[in-house]
Amino acid sequence: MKLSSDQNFYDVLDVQPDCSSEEIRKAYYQLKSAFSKGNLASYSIYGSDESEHVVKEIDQAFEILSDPEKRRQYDQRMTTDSFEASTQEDDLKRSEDSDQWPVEEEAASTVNSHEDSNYGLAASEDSIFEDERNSKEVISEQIQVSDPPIQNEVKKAKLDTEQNGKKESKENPFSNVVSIDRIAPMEDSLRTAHLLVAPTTDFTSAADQDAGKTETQSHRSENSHSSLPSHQSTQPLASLRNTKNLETELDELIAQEKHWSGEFIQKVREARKISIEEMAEYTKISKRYLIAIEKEDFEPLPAAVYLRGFLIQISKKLKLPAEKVSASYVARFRQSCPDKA
Amino acid sequence: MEFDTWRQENQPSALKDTPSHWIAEHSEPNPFNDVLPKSAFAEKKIWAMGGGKGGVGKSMIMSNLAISLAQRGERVIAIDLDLGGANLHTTFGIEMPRQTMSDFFERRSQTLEGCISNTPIQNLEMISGAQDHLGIANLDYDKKVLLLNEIQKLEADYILIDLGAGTNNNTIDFFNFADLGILTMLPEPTSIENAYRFIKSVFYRKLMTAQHLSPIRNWIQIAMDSKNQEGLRTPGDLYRKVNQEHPDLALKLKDEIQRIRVHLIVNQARTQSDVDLGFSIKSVCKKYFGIQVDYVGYLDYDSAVWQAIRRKRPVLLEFPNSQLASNLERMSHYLSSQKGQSGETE
Repeated sequence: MKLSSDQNFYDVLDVQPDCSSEEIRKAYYQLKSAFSKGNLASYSIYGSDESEHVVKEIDQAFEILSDPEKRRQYDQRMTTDSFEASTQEDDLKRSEDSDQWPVEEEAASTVNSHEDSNYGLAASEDSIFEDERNSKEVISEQIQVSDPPIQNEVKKAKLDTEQNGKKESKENPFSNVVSIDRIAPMEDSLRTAHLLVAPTTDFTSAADQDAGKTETQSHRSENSHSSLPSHQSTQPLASLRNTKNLETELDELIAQEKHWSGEFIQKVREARKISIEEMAEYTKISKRYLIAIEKEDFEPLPAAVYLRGFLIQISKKLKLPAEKVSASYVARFRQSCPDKA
Repeated sequence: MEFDTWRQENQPSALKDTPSHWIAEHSEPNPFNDVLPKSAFAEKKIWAMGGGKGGVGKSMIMSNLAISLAQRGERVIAIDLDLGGANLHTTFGIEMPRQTMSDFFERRSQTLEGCISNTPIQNLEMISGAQDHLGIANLDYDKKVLLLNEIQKLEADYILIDLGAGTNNNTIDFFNFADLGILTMLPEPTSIENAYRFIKSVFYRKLMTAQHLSPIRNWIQIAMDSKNQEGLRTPGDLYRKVNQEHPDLALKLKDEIQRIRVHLIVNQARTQSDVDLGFSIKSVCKKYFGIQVDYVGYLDYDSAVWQAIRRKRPVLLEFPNSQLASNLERMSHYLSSQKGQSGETE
């Protein structure tokens, strides 16, 4: 009997089943960072194989829980599941309950059943649900049969995804999230030639660099002001400091940037792993405007005063120098749409 | 009864094959059998400060926490249990006190209370560690029980125990005995490794000394040796094994594990990733041991500390307006608001 069988995805991420998507994200980044290669916190406890396995589990859980629709389906199945179990198989359920390790704990010895499955985020939706079924043995065949609507729904969702790959990328709110384990493309996006615009001497005035420095300093001192760790520092960015190279690289790019094009804003947003939806939620700016700003499609945008406000909001979230971004962007906007100036 | 016969038949071979020093040490008798129940005495809180490695700032942080509490009007007794290497008095800026714990051990003083010496700080008293004693690792069982009982009898609002480096059994017992166990760590591999060793010792010692887990004590003992032949590699394996054999005991085990709580302070943080290390340790401990690590906070690497130490003055008094001092004060506030781990002796 596999004892970790009734660990659910919420256990994996160590969150409550009713937590918000923001909490899930935080928990995910926190865990991901803790088990990342080279993190001092995990190497002496977990071997690299075990760490990898844990990371796979975390990814798998996040894959489902980060998507509102998939999460809803998953929750539904969990409740159906426990209902069935509690009514029909009381004894079994009880023994399963006691199976539950305080947190799920699944070390190398139980890797086997997962070994053959594909956990990559690139995996098709299909295999993800397969995995889920494997890891949650509780979802017995019987339940699958007795509850065809949900299964169908899931299958339909899968089909949709496969067939309308492109359409999906617009509709699925999370398809824009650059997952943390897609670090390779992220690195690429930062290293692409057209982003490394010009030598420092041309671009970076002393003032620019100073601004960059004071910004990071103030960030640091802000942190040291509260010695008790606040949730703030569990934010994805903070917990990802391990990927220092990326961070500094990004900071350098930002320090060098003069043009503040929509494309650049988009690059930074993706590098900071913030989806359009999350940006819209945070800034309260409609998705349509956000997309237009990033595409520099000035047509649908409102008058310059409003646009300026938008840009300041966006810059705050992306930790960009708000004044510079808005000044440069709005200037360009005024030039091409004098009527909205 | 049934379980006893089962146990005799299934006497684990692993135990005979791996006579590890560590196992032997951690299987020592449970001192809490002989310690008086906590409720018998006035309400007070006992904090213990440990850390697998030396030089991570245990005494520095402990003394400053003590001062912070005393400044808030609490009656505090700081006890230096770094026997053999006692220097808590120096961190308070005082000379080696005349009475030390040696007097207690050598029976020159009948009670531990007689070893208390004053400090220049109001409300704060201290008991200096024995300078000439053999060290805490060599404290024998009777003396340990005696000491634990005497600590119980001390009259104060807070008793802060500074433990020496190392993860020996006596150190761990004092750590588990405290209401609040604080672990200090530097963001360095050596310190982190030792911190985990410390947590592991705390974990298994706690399970070994839990009364109601006595029927599965042999399994816990096997699991302590991570190379055992039963395949119990991790606390999770142990749990699954117990669950397989005795589901009702597994619930008790789970309950016991969930009650273990370690409060973590990261000292000498220089970068954001040092700060985040605390969160990572928390996550890893939750996953691996299933225990709750409470990340109390971090202290920035600050030259105020060594300057204060060279002047033999506590940071809190020497640089009362420094960032470090306010961080320490915040920690003491936070820790005093924490509920202790529930008592050992029921």
